[in-house]
Amino acid sequence: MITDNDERNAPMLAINRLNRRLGHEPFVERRVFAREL
Amino acid sequence: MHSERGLRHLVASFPPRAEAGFWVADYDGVVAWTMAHRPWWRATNSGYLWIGVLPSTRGRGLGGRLYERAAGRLGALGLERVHSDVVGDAAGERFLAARGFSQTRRIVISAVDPRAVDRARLAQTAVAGSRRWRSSRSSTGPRSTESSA
Repeated sequence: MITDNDERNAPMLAINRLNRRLGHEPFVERRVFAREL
Repeated sequence: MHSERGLRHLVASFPPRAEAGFWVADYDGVVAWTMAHRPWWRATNSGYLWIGVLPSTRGRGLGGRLYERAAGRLGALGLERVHSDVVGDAAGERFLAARGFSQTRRIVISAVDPRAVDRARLAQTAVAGSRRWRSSRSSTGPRSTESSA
């Protein structure tokens, strides 16, 4: 089972911290980039 | 990293309103690819760009040439901003930074194998979470949409 959460989504990240007790661990980050054209 | 099957499925799923463009670098087989499109699920003046280059063929300028095609496509559509993202690839981040991109968001991806979860612990965690939720609800008091006249 995979979840992805924006770092600004504090409630979901808090839930993820609880879920770590069950082995639900962060394993990679997706970094979004932008530039003007 | 995307599988060929996954990419083919993704490309086939783009609706016409995405105005997507696709390019590949083919040297006796596809070694790099890119696609650019409008986010079709909302109104925006931004586009999205994807690039993949096999590690064994990096450093030859293929990604840069494909990028120029894809960015040119988005510019021709009249879009003002382009987004892209990188998952666990420092070289990909350097590629974007060298082309003027700045990081705007960070998304944490987590995983668990459900078969490995201790069911007893899962039940304990669920009960504790439920108590914590009820406690937070009671501390904020009852909510009402009624107003007194």
